[in-house]
Amino acid sequence: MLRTTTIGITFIFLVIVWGCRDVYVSPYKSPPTGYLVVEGYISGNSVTQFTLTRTVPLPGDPTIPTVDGATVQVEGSDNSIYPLTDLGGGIYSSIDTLNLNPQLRYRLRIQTTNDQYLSDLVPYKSTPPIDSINWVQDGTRQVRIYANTHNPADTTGYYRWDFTQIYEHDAGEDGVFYYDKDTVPKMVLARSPSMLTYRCWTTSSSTSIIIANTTKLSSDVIYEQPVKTIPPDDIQLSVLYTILVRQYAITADAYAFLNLMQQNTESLGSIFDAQPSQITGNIHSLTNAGEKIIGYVSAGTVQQQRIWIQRYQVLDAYSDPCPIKDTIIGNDSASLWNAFGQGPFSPLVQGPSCGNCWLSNYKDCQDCREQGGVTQKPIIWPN
Amino acid sequence: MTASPVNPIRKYTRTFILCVSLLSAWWPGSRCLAQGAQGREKVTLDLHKATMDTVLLLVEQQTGYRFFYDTADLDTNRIDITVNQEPYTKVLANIFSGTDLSYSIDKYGHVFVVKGEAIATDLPPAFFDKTTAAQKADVAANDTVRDYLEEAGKKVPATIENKLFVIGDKTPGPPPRGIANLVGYARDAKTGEPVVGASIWIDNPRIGTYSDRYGYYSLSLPKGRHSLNIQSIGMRDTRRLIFVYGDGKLNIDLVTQVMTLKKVIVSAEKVSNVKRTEMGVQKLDIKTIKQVPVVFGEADVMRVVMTLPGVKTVGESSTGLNVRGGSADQNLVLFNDATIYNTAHFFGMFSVFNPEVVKDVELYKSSIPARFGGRLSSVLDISSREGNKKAITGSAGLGLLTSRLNIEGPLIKDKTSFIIGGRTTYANWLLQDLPAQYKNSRASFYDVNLNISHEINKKNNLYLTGYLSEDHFNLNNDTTYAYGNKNLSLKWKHIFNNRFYNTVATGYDRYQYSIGSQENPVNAYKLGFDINQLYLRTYFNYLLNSSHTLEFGFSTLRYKLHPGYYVPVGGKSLVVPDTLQTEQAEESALYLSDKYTITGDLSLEAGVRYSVFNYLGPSAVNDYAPGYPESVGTQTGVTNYSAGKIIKTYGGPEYRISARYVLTTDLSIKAGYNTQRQYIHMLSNTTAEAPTDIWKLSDPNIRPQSGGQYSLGAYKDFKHNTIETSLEVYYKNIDDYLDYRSGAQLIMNHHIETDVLETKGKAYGAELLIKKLTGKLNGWFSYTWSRTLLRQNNPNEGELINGGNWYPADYDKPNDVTMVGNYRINHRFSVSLNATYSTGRPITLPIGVYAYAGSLRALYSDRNAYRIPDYFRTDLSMNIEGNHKVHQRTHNSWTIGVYNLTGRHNPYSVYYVSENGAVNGYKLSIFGSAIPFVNFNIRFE
Repeated sequence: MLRTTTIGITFIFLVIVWGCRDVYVSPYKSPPTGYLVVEGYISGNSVTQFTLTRTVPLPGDPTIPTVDGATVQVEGSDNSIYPLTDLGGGIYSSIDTLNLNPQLRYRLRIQTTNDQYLSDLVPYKSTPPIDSINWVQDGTRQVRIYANTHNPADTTGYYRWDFTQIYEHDAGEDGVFYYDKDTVPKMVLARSPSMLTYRCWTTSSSTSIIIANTTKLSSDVIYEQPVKTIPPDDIQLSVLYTILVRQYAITADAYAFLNLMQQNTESLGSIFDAQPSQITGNIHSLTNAGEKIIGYVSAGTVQQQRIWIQRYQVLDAYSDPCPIKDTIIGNDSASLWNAFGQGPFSPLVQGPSCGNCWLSNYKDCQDCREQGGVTQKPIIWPN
Repeated sequence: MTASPVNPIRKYTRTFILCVSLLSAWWPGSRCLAQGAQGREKVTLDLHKATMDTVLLLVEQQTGYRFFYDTADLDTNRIDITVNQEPYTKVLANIFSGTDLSYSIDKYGHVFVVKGEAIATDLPPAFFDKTTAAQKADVAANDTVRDYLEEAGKKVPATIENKLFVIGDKTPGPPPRGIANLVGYARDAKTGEPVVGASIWIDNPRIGTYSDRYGYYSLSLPKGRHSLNIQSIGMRDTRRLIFVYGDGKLNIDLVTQVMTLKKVIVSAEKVSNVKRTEMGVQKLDIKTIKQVPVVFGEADVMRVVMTLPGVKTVGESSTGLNVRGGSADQNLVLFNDATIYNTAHFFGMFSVFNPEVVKDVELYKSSIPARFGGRLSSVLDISSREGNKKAITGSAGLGLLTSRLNIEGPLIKDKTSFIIGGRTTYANWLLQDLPAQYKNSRASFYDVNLNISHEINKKNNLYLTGYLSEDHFNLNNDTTYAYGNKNLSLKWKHIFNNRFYNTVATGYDRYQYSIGSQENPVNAYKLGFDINQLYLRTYFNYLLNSSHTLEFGFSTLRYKLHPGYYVPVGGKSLVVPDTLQTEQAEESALYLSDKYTITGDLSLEAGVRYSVFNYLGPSAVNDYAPGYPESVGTQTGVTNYSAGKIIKTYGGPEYRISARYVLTTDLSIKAGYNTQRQYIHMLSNTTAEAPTDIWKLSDPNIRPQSGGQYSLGAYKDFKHNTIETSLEVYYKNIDDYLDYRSGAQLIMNHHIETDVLETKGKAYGAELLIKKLTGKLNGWFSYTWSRTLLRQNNPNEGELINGGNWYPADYDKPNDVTMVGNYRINHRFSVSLNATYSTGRPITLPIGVYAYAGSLRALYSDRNAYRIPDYFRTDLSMNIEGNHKVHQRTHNSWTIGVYNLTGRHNPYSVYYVSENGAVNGYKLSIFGSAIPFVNFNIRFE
């Protein structure tokens, strides 16, 4: 893996130098699949949650169908049963933290309308705490966020991380006016607090598989495991950024499953990469032997840690691409309609010097939602 | 062209000499010694160890006579002469006494100096009358008959076609009867290098042979008088008149052909496919290779081999060959005698063979001679040149990415020569175009060749080959990456007698790679692999009689592999040193084959090779429960073996049979069957051969691969044998070919047998080749239709691939058309064009999409069920030579061209990747536009 990465990257160099990459649209028609996909974690120190979805053909509508109305339960090797609640949208969750016994093994049972599925029993793996989440800005101004951990007992070996990040991003201009074209007379009005679109927050989760192992090291130490890289001059670091990193101890088999999934779906596509191959998890159909099910059930504890990064902490932080406010719009109804009602502009400041004309700017520059995100401030946000 | 005037002012002389030579050939019987018509001038000379050149120049200055001669005739003679005001004729007689040179003077004061017979300066009186048959016979009868006794120590190279050479001890009385044996070397008259593949034959009865890779030939022929014809591509056709009384030797010096545009060489006996017994053999000389345009303009041996029918590769920058459905590790690549494990520089952009040192390349894809073994698919035998035995010469080349320098010459004149060649790259400038985070990357490679050939005496020759190649890549200053070959071989050729010679070769081969990273101090590591082998190979060639030639020998090869080490780097690293146990084994073989000429039309070559492989201790071998798939769960224990202990023996016979039947002089059919065994496997689950692929020996848990091939072919020559065509079909089966479980871990795996699958393969196809290697327009066209299928249907092996059904191999490209053409517009300018089309290779495409770990991801199913778009490429190059004056110190040439002329985006791989939560499909092209290149070459002497 390490080998193929190196050669793969090198190979990609050559492609960058002479080659090119075009979008590929497969001329082949995919067969219908609809395999069950199971994702989640049996947690002993937080809510246990599983998501059931199905595979869809490629290409086509990428809307992933969810599996609703199933009965999902966690079972212990002592025959204990912990039913999960159907929250809709394919999500099945425990109400509270499950009271699990670290000495036992656990599995997942799923009953859909027609089929029953059961995972292998998996050991309960206690995850060592995260020592630190740190970040550096390297010579190319990329911000690299790392996780550090260790297990003095040397019993973990295989690790997985995922994260949830939130960042605030503000509009270029703090627009307090808006042009109301829906009421008569059409006119420029001041925004109410709920209509302000200056501050936004975007929340997202990790989209790649982050795994590492320490089996080749003399002690169970993870040092500076890359978790997330933010490119230079990126809007994520324009105001305030936070990342909550979760860490899971997993088994060798779970690691192998994720590793293969990573190779299959995240590799660079050079001929020096391992070829894609079929992936099988630890969930089996009880009603239809040989049915393909994608997913790997693991059990244990979750450790997490949050860090914050302020704009002033990074060099060459995000620069606002909005042009300076220089568009002048007359205060007559025709001009207002042309610029604000039909045009791309939004009023900013009324200047008495030009006969109550409006200094204006593009709407995008006054509406942070244009960059994605919502204006609802997250609960954890400091101010 | 070696004929030359004494001084360069007389430019017309060359033509003149040609005419005169022609005359002398017409009129061999007449002798015309110096008449001394103008020989009244007095000459004064006082010279010691002077060259003939100098002496003749001084005589010329003092007398006004003009001398004409072929420098090749004179250069070995040194003269001591002291004369004071002696007559001209006397001085000349003095000069030429004790040499084999004759001279004649015409009425204009031109002096013609030749070896052997003097030139007739006048036409015979009856020349313009019709020459009668009787006169011809008379002429033949008057031929001077001289004893040709090499043992007497008198060096008489056979350069004159009309001289009669007596072979064996001349006996008085009636003409001798029976068969005698004639041997010798065919050499380049100018450089002393052996001429390989020269066709040597007599017309009546029609008996012929070819010179081998040392230029050596051996011919059984009836005693009596014959005209021995010698032809070789690139050499002037010649003949020798011989009178065979018994066994003897005759060395033949051939003169390089200066290509004339008007002259089309039509010959009956070029090394032709029709006549050879072997099938599926392709030979390319470096001159042909150099004409084929390749990316970056540097002649590339491997790239040109890929244009031959039956040879495929998975992608553009891959040097791994797939010959007739074989995998890349099933080819034995020999450079002289050394096994080259990695043939690629710079991730496959260049091959490791320096074109300035390579002489020719021979690919055996069907009838593999019994002397070769150890690989299933093919043998690629690359020979290097021997250095110039007469003078120090050299060449240099300058390209956009690489430069090369090559120097050769005699160490002991006519006895020992060397050739040393080196290449290096300066590709760093390319990396300037990389994204900022990779700017600090560095790439470099070099290779060095050294060959020494030494003639101990007439019967013993020594050949030393040294080879070294290294690649370095430094990814952004923190991951370094290196690999290289090291080879050393020594070969001794000994001639017992006319019918029997042998070679003994011994040497050491090594390939190693390493990767190190210090990016993360805690994980800083170095990972490496190496393979070492020591070998001894003997080869005997025995000409039993005119219809049987036996080849036999013994070879042994000692492997020592370090399958992997993983060690910490730096004080902070927590990496635990881990070393896979060293593997050692001995692979030995005995072989015997007979080239049997049953009738003139039917011949058979049958051989058997018995190979034995011993896996040797010390080793700790994992034991598995019998009857279950080998997995960590079924491991029952470990057995320890002590050093030198034979742990496991594999072996068996391999058969090599081929037969040829000549239907008409230009049409033959051939059939062949051969089997192979392979005891070493390359472990690679990537599509292309990578420099970091590791090799694994067969052991108690991994069986050797074996395979057999049936082939049938028809061969026909057209247009006086200038166009050679062949059509071959084959069927091949492969057993115990290694494939991999999904997610196999191939490096640093202490139980690799649990991650591999032993599968079966079959391949079949038809290959058409049309080849024209002479004339203004030359080149070849090949079309291949072939399939290569694999199957893993043994549940005991574990995972079934594609449900146990046959599935196409990565390099299964059913249709493949290649055209390589060169058009010589004039002596100094030629244009080459090649075009290639092939079906896209199979790939595993996703059949669906699913959501996992925050992203949509591609769902894969059956292996290699789809194909990437078809491949098409055209390349153009122009070769521009400097002027062709023979006696200038340097000759230069330019190669200018465009690779991928149409700029087509040939997909090299198609892949799907999850990016920012979505699944995107891409086509990747290595060369996404037309790539211009320029190369400058210079030869100096």
